[in-house]
Amino acid sequence: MSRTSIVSIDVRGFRAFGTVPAHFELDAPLTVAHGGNSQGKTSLAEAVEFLLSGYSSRRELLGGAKAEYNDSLRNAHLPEGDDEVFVEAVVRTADGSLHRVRRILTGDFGRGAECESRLLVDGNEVSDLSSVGLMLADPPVRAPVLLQHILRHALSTEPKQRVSYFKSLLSLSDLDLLRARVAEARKHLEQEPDGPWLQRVATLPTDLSDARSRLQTIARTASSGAGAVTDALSAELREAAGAATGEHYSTLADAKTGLETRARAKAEALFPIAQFVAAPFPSVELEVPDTTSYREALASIEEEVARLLPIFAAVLRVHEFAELTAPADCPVCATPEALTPARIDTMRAELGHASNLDQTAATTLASIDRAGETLTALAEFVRAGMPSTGSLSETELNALAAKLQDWGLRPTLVRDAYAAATALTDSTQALVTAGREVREAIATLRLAIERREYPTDIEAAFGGLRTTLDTVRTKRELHAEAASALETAIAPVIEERAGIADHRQLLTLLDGVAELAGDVIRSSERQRALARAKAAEKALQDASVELLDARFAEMSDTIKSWWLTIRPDELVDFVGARTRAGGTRFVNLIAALHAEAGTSPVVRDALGVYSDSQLNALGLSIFLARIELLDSPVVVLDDPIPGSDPDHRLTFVQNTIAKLLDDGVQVILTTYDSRLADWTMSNHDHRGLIAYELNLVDPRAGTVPTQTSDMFSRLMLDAEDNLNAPTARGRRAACGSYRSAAERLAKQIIATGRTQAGAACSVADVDAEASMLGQLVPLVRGFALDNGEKGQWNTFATVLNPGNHDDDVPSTAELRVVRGNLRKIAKTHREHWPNGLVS
Amino acid sequence: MSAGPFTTLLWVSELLPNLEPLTALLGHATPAKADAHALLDAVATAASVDQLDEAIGTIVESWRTP
Repeated sequence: MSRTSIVSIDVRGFRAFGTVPAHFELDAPLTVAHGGNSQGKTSLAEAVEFLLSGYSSRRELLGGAKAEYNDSLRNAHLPEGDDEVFVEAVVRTADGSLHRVRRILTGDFGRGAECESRLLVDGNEVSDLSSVGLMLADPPVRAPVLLQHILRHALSTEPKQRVSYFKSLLSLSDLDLLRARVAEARKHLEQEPDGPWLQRVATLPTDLSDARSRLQTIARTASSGAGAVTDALSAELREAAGAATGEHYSTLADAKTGLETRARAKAEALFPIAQFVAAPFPSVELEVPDTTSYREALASIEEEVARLLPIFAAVLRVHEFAELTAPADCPVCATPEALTPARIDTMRAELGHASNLDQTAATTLASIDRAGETLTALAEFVRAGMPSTGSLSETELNALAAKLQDWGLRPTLVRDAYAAATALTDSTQALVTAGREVREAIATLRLAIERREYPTDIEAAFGGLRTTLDTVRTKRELHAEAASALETAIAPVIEERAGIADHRQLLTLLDGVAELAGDVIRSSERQRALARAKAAEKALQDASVELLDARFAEMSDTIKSWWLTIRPDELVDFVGARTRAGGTRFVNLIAALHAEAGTSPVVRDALGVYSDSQLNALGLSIFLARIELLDSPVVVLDDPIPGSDPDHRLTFVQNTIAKLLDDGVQVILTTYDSRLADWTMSNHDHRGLIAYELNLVDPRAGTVPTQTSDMFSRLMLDAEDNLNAPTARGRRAACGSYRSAAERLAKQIIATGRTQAGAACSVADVDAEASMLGQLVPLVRGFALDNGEKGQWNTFATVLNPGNHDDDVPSTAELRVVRGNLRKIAKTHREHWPNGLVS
Repeated sequence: MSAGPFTTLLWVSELLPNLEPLTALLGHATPAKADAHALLDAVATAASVDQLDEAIGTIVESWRTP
């Protein structure tokens, strides 16, 4: 089955890669990039990680302060203002189509900021590479790139931190997210405050602790409707009011009245504030009765006729007279035939005029009634609304002033309120006199109207009342100010000293029984939702643990299978990953220690008993298990086998890499270990591979990759192993490899030169003619590109043909010169000939 | 994208890739599991943490009513 693969990659300005874009052909199942330390191997692996994820796990997992990674992705040697940092790849998807993928660094790690980048697929901006079949896993290891800090991370953290790494490996972090958000919703419910009325219950004073407790029980256990809750609360509040006053109340109104009376009595006992208080000034409008319409109606009727109107009305109420057709005797004065039909009609007309007079009289009388009501309200205000400070003796006033002083208040407050009260009371005397005059005036007016006579003028009387009324209103306002100042000042002291706080709080609750019931019901609903949320959260937790356990079991088996590819048939074995505390908090890695093959093992925590190289193999196995389980089409391995573990190079090459390649995974291996690179190439050459040598000479230009997939390059790699050998035997081996490499290069140059001259020639043709270096040097000199090269070929023939004695073996320094010359000649000839060197 | 031979492990291509196996494990056997199931159903289409919170909040709110 075809899978996504990376065909090539170009890197510029990223970490070790500089101003010269480095190009890597990767269109093979296996790519091996070899280089010495600090030549850009890890930068290549991190470039792939950045390309796929837009992220560097180094900052997350390597440790240290985040600030230490500031500006770490852009090559530090790029010229000022050169911000062109990108990783570009050609990707072949499962359907065989090619796509250009480009990740551009737009913001490096900075002060508290993550790195930022743009990702383009075929020129279109995208958020990830899922469209080309390159998916990401959970952080912190999102890309299928094994870096040294990733390998060590799983092993270096404590078991309870390790679980998060394993969860991310298992792609189970989403379950944590879900549970965290459900827990957040549950906490939100838990922290939701009670309503203000229920909070008042919680603050009831100690004196009412029993009532508080019972009210809270109602709130806690309420499960019925609003009516029942209100009834229960009302009963409890009546009970509490009764307990506070020693009375029994059958209604909330009674309880409220009882509490108010008791509270007022206690307050008055401490300070007679009621004596300083006046009733509110009555809300009245002084309206002078308007007699204009009445006067006009009356003027339209003759005075004598008006006097006779009742008689006319009585006559017309008699049917015989009302329907009179012939003269009749007058029923009033008995004059014969004085009552004629014409006079009856006249009476009817006069009564019609009189009807309008009655209506205007009624309207005027009504306004007189309103004026009377206003006078009554004012009289009541004067009678019952005045402060009773007049009964206070001078001694009592002095005592009250002294009390205020004791309380730390201004004693003059008492005198001020007293004076204002007196002024108010005095002002009402004039009001009483004016009111009496108005009352007499409107009584006279009423009588005149009832008699249908012209009314007397009452404006003057009302004018006097209006003037005194304004005076009293002003005095009332001044008094209200003074009384309020006194009341406000003493209120807190009264509350504190009169022992009525509980009364007040109960009164507040009595005023808000409906609101309190609402709070109780809402609290009950919240408790119900909270209980369900907790139970659902627990059910999710249990199911998550079960899922996690299943995943761990699967993961554990897979880790072990990879472990066995690296370390088969060893006495120290890996048993698996085990979870503790339900898989939620700890992950332990278990080792089985066999004393000898076939015996029962002793089981221990792997981290405690494994050697460094075994731990490395375990970290590698964990990572590869994830690659397998996530079905990743590509894996990048950066120095997967440490130099301290040469014994397992071969098992890694022959088993581990073979299994990856067999599974169809594209493998990109970067390593400093020339033997690992060499063995990997020689073992898997038949599968198709591409090899690179990485060199970093100019930090500005950056790492330069040179493709070394040919025989010459492999021989050069082979020589690397023994280049620094302290023994003559080791250097002799390196010398042999360099000699073979020189022979191979000479044959390629000769074959290429002859072919370019028009005579087709292969390496085998040259080999048949001259196979040894001494024979080849005279031939290859003819194709040397300069005199310096000619001299170098002569030197190779001398230096690389040591005798049998150790004294004849070249030194490491001499071998390094040979290595440098051979590399340079190979490079210049590859570039010189139009089609490179024949292979 | 092929799920590969290990179908129980999914790529993180959605906010909650493990929702389906978790739902299958949960069942409806108890009221608590039914409530948990309702939560999972509600968050199934969430595409961001905000949407996740909103979906969970809606379900939890509905539990206030008997």
